[in-house]
Amino acid sequence: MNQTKVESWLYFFLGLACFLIPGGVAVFIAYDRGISFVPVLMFTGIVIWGGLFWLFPFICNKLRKGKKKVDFDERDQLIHKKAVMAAYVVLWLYFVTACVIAWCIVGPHGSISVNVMPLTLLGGLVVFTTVQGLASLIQYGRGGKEK
Amino acid sequence: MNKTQKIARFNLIVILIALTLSAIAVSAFYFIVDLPIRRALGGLGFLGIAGLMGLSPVLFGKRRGQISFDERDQLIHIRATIVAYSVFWLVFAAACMIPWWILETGAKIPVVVLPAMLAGGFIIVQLVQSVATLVQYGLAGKGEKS
Repeated sequence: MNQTKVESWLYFFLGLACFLIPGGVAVFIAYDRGISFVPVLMFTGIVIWGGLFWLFPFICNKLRKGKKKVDFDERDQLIHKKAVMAAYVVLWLYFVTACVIAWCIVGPHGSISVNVMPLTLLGGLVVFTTVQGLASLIQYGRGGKEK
Repeated sequence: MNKTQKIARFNLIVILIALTLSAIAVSAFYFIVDLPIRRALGGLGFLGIAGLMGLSPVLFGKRRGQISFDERDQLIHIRATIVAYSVFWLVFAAACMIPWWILETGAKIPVVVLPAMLAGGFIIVQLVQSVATLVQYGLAGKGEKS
């Protein structure tokens, strides 16, 4: 099992908790004390950071470039890029589905609570992270052919 | 200029025409005809021109006996798509958070906002993907042929 595969497992199990807990705290503060700039900024920062967290291996690779040991080669990069692309495609489908379902439930002249918007965003982050982790695992194969 | 570049260029031109005509129509309805803003936004109907992007695979289809999409093109396509969706993620986050911040908790927004976001997201993804593709190939065209 190479480093990327280990990272994928960590990303899949711990990543969700790392982003969901602070995100949940921000939402709780907003509901408890009303919406202010701080929870909105906190929540937005977490969501954007979570959505662009896939850049982390590339940044680490750039920093490690001087070292002899190669942990993240071209094949890993390609697998990672394909996983990110698959996650973005599913995110797009999720976004379309969320919009169509809301439209169907309330009708074309209806209205929805503004609280639905951050929840949609949070759902998008969960979908993105889950699909990216799964796609990495599927591409490497379940058996663990790398060491 | 190869097939991928031609498609990217075609999509970029179509999107820019659609956005320009929409902006002109909304401005004309609002400032010249003096329509209320809700009705002036009807000028966004020109965004329907962006549907012409669906013709690009037909216009620049595969020719017999030629390899039109190799490993390099695939890598460029993946990179362009990832860049496009990364920008989409930032816009999606802003579009969801700004109304939540501006309006009070529990306030209502019209459901038509959601399909509008969907259309806007689609245009942003296509626009950024086309630009990223053209930038990666190089604007001058270094000898790629389809």
